[in-house]
Amino acid sequence: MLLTQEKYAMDFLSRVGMSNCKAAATSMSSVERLTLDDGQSLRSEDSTRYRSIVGALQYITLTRPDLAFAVNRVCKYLHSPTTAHWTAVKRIIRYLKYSSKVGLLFIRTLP
Amino acid sequence: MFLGSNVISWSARKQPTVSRSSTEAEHKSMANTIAEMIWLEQLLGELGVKLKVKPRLWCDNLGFIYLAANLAFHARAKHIQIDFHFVRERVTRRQIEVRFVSTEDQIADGFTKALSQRKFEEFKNNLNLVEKTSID
Repeated sequence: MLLTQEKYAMDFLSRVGMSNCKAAATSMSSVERLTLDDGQSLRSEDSTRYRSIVGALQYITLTRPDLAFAVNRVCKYLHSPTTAHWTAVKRIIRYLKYSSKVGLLFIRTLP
Repeated sequence: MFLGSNVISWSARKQPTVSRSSTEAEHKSMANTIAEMIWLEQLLGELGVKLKVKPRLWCDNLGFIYLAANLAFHARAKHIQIDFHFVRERVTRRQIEVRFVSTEDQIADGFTKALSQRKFEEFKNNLNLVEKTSID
């Protein structure tokens, strides 16, 4: 049995207008570290958008434990997102584009 | 947590309290994992599923494995009380088996750090995350 959220992921990609973005093979950079005050603060309407998008990403982690860590990292800054955090969110979305068909597989184990 | 080869539960969180050593940190997380394991075993039992093998706990901290199996108290573990006894009780009653896994083979790494592409692919493989087209 394969659990996927492919349709949700595709709808999400088109909702944020990133259906044609460049796909990325991993969900986050393994060298850069996010901190609270990297980059410039987002304006309040952009912050709202950040929160709504991160919320949608959180829903996708339901069948995608590989995204859980990256999403958790960007969640830490929901209260005051900056441009650097936004870049990290976009990276996750680009990874989602790369891996939208991926799902959790359950196999019956032979006795 | 795996049931057979399938992932059924996962969790990664910041420690709620300060630990003085990695073994102490490991103890706390293992106590939580064991609690979850016991719950799951009970749930499966209620559903009429009997586990054929003993639940196995993989741990990448050797200090913890020694401590869990050995009844002696150690200077650096004097203050770890409830979790300590909880874990040790299950292990000495042979309800749970603790095994060592090297950091290199640690499956759960992807929940706690950003990985390189190769490691990330391995991580996904271990969790049975596959693409729709690649099955059958």
